[in-house]
Amino acid sequence: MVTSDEILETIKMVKVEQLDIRTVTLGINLLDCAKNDVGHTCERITDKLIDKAGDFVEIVNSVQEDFGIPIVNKRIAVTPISLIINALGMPSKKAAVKIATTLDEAAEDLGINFIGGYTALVHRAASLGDNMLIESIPEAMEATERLCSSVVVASTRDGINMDEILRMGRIIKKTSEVSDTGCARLVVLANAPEDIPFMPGAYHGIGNSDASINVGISGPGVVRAAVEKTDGNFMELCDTIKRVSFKIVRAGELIGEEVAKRMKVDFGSIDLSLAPTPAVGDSVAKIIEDMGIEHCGGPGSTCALALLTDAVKKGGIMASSRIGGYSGAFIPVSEDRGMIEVAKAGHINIEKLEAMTSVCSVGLDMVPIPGDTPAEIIAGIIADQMAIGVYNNKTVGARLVPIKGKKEGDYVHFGGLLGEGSVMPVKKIDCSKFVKRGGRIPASVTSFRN
Amino acid sequence: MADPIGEKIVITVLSADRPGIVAGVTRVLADLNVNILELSQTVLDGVFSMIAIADISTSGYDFKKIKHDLEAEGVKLNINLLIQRKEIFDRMHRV
Repeated sequence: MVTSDEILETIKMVKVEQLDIRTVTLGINLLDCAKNDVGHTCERITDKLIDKAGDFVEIVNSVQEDFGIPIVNKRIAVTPISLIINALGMPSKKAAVKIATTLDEAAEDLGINFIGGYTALVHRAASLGDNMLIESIPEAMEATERLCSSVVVASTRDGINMDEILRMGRIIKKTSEVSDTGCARLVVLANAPEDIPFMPGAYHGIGNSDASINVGISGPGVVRAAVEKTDGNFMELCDTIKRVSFKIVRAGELIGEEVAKRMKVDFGSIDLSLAPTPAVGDSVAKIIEDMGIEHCGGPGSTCALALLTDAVKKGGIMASSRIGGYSGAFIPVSEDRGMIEVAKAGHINIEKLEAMTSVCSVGLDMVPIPGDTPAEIIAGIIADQMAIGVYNNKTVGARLVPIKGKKEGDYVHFGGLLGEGSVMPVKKIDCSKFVKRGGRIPASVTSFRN
Repeated sequence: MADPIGEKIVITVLSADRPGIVAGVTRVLADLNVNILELSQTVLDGVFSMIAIADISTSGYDFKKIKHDLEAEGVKLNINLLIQRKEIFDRMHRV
């Protein structure tokens, strides 16, 4: 029997320490919707989304009521849309945008705040569908509010597609000029798993069944509360984090199982990533500071983040056999209250963030940069980020957000979960000759494991 | 509809201490024919806490109705009252 103390501990986690399930994401296969004609294809996409997800929000809300754990976001991830575009009789940029708006409208009708899967997989090379999709991104983001896009440009097995990184530098810049939130809904990835529940990187990989549930837990606030109370040595600190991680992953597992059961679909995986929000207390940066570093970004920050991520993984892996997705810790600059503060004060810069991404997951995330940053420099930053993922066998992403008309030190408000923050300085050192060399960097020696 | 996930619920009350809280909550449970399995209450520094574990399989009503009636009583008594399925606690605190 659970004890009164354990019951009260759980309630405190929810009521005081902001324990919640960050997202329950329903993955839906759209391959069967692809027809010769784009209009017909869009009709089938709408029908399938309504068929599979018509009662999704209602079911997730009922599970939330039963267990008393808040579930913040209900989201949908679909088959990489470049595959659908490839199957059209006449693939075009216009057709891609039509699919984008169809997805966005369906999400709105279903009560979903983000729909992911406007995705191209170009880690080796781009197909016709990939080309159409990537070129359509600025227009697609301008025409939508809920659509999330991801482009996979590298993998440890395949190397780094530098042509696509350069193109993404241009696409990100163009997107920033036409859409205020477009770049916040766009991520460039390496080693992307097929079961990410978090946006904007979520897509329903072709290795999945027709529909499945993936859960993204949360919990920086709960981990912080535990770390705050611990004055012990590193062994004790890691043990404390492991215990908390176990509990929050277990909560996520039960909720995922129950939603999947009620939806009559597969339960895919739990992403145990600590996902901060702009809410006070729900910050990964503050956990690092509570370990004994004056400001996140100071000396020791990378080490602190490494032990945090490792202990969270150990507790989570013990808690569930379904760990997947990113499963690290996110350090989004504009979405984390502590990170917003240290960025504003100049205690952290892109170079230190990049170092920290080598031990967490996702990478340079929600980093506001000056609007006049050249595409080649954006590509150079992405290339550095992808290299960290490829040569270390890990998933990384870069979500850089050039802010039109703003320069370093200016302040920007994205609103909601996307947060706010200072525009970070970017070194204006020319790397255009490097990023324009062309072609693909070959697969890393670490990939030869057969 | 058959209850898909177990029949035990946990009711937690946190409030300033005063007479009638346990009586009010347990009266609702009795009216719904819900069987209390465990009941504990403490008062620490004037803060009243009560935890009840109950079996709803004896009740003819579903979880939603039971939750609704208990929450209405919570509003009437001006107390913080939470109703959750017990599985969440078992899952989080037991290997």
